[in-house]
Amino acid sequence: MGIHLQKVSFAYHIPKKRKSIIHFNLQDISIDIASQDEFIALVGHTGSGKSTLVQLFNALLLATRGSVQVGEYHLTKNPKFALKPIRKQVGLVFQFPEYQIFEETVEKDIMFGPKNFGLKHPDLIAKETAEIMNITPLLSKSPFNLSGGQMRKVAIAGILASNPDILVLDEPTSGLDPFAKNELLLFLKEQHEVYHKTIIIITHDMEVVSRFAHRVLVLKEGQLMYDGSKDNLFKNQEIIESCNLDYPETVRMMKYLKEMLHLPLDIYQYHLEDVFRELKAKVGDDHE
Amino acid sequence: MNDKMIFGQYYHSDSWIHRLDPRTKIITLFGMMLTAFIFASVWGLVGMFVVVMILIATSKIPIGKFLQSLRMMAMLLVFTIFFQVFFSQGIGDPRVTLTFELRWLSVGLIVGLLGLFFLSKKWFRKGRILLLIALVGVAFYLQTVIKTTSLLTAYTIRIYDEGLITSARVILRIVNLICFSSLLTLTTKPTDLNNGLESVAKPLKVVKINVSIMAMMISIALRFIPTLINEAMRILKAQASRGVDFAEGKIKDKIMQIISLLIPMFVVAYKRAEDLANAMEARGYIPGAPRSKINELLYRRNDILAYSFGFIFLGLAIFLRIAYAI
Repeated sequence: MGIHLQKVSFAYHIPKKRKSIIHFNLQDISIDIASQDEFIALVGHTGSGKSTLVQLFNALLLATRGSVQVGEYHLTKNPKFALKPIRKQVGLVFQFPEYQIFEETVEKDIMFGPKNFGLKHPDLIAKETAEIMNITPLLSKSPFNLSGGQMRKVAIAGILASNPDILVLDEPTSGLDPFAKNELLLFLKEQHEVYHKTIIIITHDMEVVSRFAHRVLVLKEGQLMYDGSKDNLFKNQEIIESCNLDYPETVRMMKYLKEMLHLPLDIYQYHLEDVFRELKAKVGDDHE
Repeated sequence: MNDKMIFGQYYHSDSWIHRLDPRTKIITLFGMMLTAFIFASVWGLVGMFVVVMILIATSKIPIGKFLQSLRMMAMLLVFTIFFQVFFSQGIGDPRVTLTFELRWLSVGLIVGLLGLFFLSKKWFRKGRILLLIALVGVAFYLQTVIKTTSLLTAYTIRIYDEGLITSARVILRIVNLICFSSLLTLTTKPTDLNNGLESVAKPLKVVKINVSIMAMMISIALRFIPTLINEAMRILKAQASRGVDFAEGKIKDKIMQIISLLIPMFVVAYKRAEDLANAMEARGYIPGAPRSKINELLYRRNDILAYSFGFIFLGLAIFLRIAYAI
């Protein structure tokens, strides 16, 4: 189960002439993602192929070379089976909610996905999802009169309603105010912890990576540069610099304090409370 | 991924026709297209065809491009020939008289052939028009050859000289017109064409039509086609993630799925339009106010030559028509 990519390459344009060089947008990527209990952040520069990669996960794009396996489905260049079940397993939320919202009311819009996948009682599912997402008061409203944050929640609810095992979100926090951003991320964390869903987030925000992700994938120019825990990523200065990544604020702060105070601090702390605890332990109470 | 898409037929090359001012091309080619309706005889149209061929040869554009635009009209041409040749009446004796007999066997064979033609769609995709023409030919041939089985009906077709001449005239006219218009669109970028049209249509100000606004609208529309195609692809993907699949489902579901693509498309397009309007106003665009141009249109020596050639051609056509009824 889950998503397994083996030596996958992908090109948007395949030149007609046999011998001409193909420009690959993704090259030789091998990843294994479990269908449960993963929280993955996918980072990389603009144009590094992040969005392309996640579209391979639910068969919106098909690999040019290599093999992609989603659940029990082996995806080839011309799959002989319907792709719908794959899209039910892997839900992909795009960056801009206005690309998918179209119904008169929020409730009907959330029902659209479950109806397409032939789930029973779509109205009940919609109500349930709205409750989980904390948007019940919006159900009877028109989705076009909502604020940006609410719209994004509706869009996520529209995907979540089909109950995918793996939820992929393309920059879910861009354009949100800090409060809405935090709320959304905490919600995703809850989905991960309570319902054991695998969450994959594309993001530029290292705070999101440091606070929530367990595993980080780093893409650069279509190649997978790093796949592993966030601790190892932040310790690996070479990759951080070559991929134009940044340290999260807490790490930067600890780094600065370590240099200024010459203390043996463990700088890899991702929450403010941990920072405080670490400082307290190393510096002691008297310096407070 | 669609950023490089160029709309219109423009074929990049560097010939003297490419380098002409778009206004020159629009006015001269329009004038020359008029001659297609001035010439009344086949010989005049043949002369015009020769001129077109010379222009095409010097335009450094592969002839295939012109054939492509002709192909779209192929069906129309075939029907015109068919009706003109077989159904027009002449004064003198018919040149050819053909008698056709419909018998059970030939009807059966023709129906069978038609069935084969539609079934063959899977295997032969190219050259279907040629195949259809061949089929029609075979169908008529069968009607003259098969003499067995009982006779259903018989009919005769008389082909007159007049029919042949009229069809030749119609074909030459259409081919000439298409070649001229393709010559314009193939050698001129859509933006240049738009600028040229704006400039040519300026006198319409007298009748209170604001040409510059129209031209701006056309150029924005051209500019936004690839952008909107990109947006449409995104919407398609976003809805595919929610289980939209055009391959399966009932008609009622399919209508709903089309709506799920159309509404976001409108929303996105309106949003883009609003953003663009604001961005234009922020940069001082006032509808209808006079604006300077980044690329001023400029007449060169060749333009004057082209104008004189065009008008001599038009004048000659009018003269020949009046003096010799060519």
